[in-house]
Amino acid sequence: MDTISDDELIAMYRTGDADAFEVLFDRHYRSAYSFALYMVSDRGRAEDILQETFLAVARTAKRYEPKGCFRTWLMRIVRNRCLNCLESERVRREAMAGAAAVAADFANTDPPPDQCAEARELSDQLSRCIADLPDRQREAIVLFAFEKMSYQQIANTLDLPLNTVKTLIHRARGGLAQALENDGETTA
Amino acid sequence: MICMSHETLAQFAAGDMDAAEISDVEAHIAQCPECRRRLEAVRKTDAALCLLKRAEPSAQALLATRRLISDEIRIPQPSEIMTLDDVAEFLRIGPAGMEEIAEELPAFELAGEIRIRRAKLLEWIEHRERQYLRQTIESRTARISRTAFQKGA
Repeated sequence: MDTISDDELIAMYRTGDADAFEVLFDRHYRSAYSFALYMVSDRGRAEDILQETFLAVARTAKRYEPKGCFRTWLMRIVRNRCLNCLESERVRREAMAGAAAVAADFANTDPPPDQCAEARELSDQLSRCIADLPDRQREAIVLFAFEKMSYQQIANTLDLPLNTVKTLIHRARGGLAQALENDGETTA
Repeated sequence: MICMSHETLAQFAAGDMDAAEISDVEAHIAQCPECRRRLEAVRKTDAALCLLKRAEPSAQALLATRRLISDEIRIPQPSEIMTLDDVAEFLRIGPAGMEEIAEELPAFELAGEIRIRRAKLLEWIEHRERQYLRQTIESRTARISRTAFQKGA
């Protein structure tokens, strides 16, 4: 099933093949969870969002138009659920406070042996800096870095013009580089 | 000399500039050690971004999610072989109704028990539907003929 496209799997699921849906879940659950975790900065809430998202996908699979954009569709569902969750001011405050706590979940736990400690520290720092980025930059950079989405796919997911997405990503990369430099100076 | 912002250098590193802008940045960084350092920081950040891994939900949450999804997507399929109770439930009729149709059902005996194949039951329902339609048409035709006869008389 590994070679079957997402669109084909959705089509198979629509005809009653439950196994096809489970392959889709296995293929995308980490992406959905990581995006949610960076958005809400709380493991429990991100896990709830993961669950709600895939239930929504299972229930609304008939509405999906097979144009090779399953991941974009999925991430839009995740994002909408995160935004609903963050609408509550209390949740937003907790998310800000929890950002640093979940940063380590994204760290590269398997760096090359010769740069183990340094690489782990850098990815730890980087994850913390991503969590501190303004919301829109954070969404864009997570889709860019983790999902390797193109600018256009990110624009479709976030409902933003292409040039805005480019600006957000350049700003985020520049901001992260600056934040890492500052971090280095502080800890040096 | 005014240094370039990290954002501009990130744009340059991504190659997302036109040729004239690229020349400007290249000319500037050739003379500015601070911007060369900043550009290096941007490139190091880009490399580190590529190494970040997606997060993994807890094993407990993952298992719970898998179970929930499985319950949602795996709708239990009705059994092909039905008991009389299954048939009563399927047809939504009580014991008196079942007694009335018992002899007509396409049933078979198995180890002293009565069983009905779902496919045969569906055929039987279709047969009854056709029968009902025929009776309705016949009774309407008879009513129309009667009315016409009464008018004529």
